[in-house]
Amino acid sequence: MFSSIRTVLHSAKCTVKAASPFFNDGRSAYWRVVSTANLQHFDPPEEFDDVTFPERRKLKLMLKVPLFIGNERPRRQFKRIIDIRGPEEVHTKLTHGKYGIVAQGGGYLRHGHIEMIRLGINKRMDEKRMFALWRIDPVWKPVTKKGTGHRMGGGKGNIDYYVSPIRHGRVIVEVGGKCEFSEVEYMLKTVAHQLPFEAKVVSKESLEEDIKCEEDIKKNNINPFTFEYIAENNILGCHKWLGRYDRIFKGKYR
Amino acid sequence: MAALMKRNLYVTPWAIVRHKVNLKGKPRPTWYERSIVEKISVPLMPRAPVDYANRCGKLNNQRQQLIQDHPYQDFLIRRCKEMFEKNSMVAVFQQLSASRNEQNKNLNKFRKKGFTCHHFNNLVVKRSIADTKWANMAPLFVSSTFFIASEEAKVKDLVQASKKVTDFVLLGAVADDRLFSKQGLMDYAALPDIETKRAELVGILNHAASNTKSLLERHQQTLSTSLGQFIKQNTQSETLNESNQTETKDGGNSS
Repeated sequence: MFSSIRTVLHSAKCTVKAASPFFNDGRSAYWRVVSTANLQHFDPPEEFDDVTFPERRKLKLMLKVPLFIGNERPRRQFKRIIDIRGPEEVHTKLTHGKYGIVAQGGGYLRHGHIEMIRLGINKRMDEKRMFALWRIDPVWKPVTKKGTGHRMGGGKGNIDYYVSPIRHGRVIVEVGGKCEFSEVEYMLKTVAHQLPFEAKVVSKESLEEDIKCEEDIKKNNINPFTFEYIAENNILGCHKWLGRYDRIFKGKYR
Repeated sequence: MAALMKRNLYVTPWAIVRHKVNLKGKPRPTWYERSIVEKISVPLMPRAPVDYANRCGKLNNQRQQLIQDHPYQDFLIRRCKEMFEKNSMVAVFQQLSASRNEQNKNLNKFRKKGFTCHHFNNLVVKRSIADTKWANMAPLFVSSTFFIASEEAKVKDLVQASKKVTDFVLLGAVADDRLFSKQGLMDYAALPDIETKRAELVGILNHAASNTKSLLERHQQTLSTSLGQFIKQNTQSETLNESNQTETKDGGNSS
């Protein structure tokens, strides 16, 4: 009808032939479907002028067992829970890409998890427009295990597998390129859902928003009974059950 | 006495307790005291003052504020301005509810006579009209409106076609840099051609001249006619006298 709208929308006209329940004498009914809905506002498309692609766009294969040079032998070590406890302090921001997966808890990534991430993303990714990057180290921490049916004692068991420790807030994988969040979100969500700890899909903007939100809460919180204050002043007799890391992390990162 | 005094045995000031480390993905379930503390320590934000006028979703939809510096919006405004500048006649119609098919049928009646049909959002039109010579048209754009335009001001065709269509209501028009109401358009269309109007004018002008001429000549004419009449009467009386005389002569002879 209107020229201005027609330039943008193709009016979807089609005739539908129907096996009519109304006419018994063999006549067939025709309906003409004419689209009436239209869009008024179109946001300008995003510009991807500043996107630079790395040499290899897909996620690289990671080693199952770390490389040992010469006569070096792997050492069996303590558990060192501190590796997965508390917040990540270094790898918390996106560097090359725009979107990514961020851990929402501590845990160990085994080689199987890493393969799952790699295959899950590489399979669904459009290589022409996107790229993906690892932000984690390959597995390096040995985990020992005693074989089944062994009695206790007899020293520490043998190294069974290696893991990569992850702390709360660490970026695991980045995705970037000439793509929008809605294109990548499903791919990353399916991967993030299968990780051994809670993880969420983020974009650069959402990460910044989270930081802003935290600062805002710090500034404008009216509630005088913060966890810090409660822990200091033994309110409700909390000293009885309060742990060391509760005091350090103020009730977070449990 | 000293034996009666109860004294605690020595207890270490720190209790060395080995907890099993939580290596699972989820944190341990909270116990009662801790859940109370967690509930208490939830951050409270000051309430932002509520803007009740902007809270109503229905009103917000009606307002439909234009997005500033939106390229698509600018494009529409440019097209709207173009329409006004190119066409010497732009009529505004209100569109009543009708099926799309009927609308098209009605519009075809205009298209057959060489009109073009345009549609713009009312806010877009108001924005493109502001600070131009068409600014006085703004009150027309209230409900669902559309435009019918032509490069020449074919008011007669427009009025004829608008009488035939059922679901369109003519609100007003601009023709030859003149703003018309609906009634004004009707009157304008009812006027005859400019050729006949000119001929009429020439007739009126000629009438005045001929009138003055006739007025000036009137006295002479009446005088001449009266003189003529006088001569006529005189000649008649003379002839009558002569004839009487001859009759008397003839009568004398015969007797």
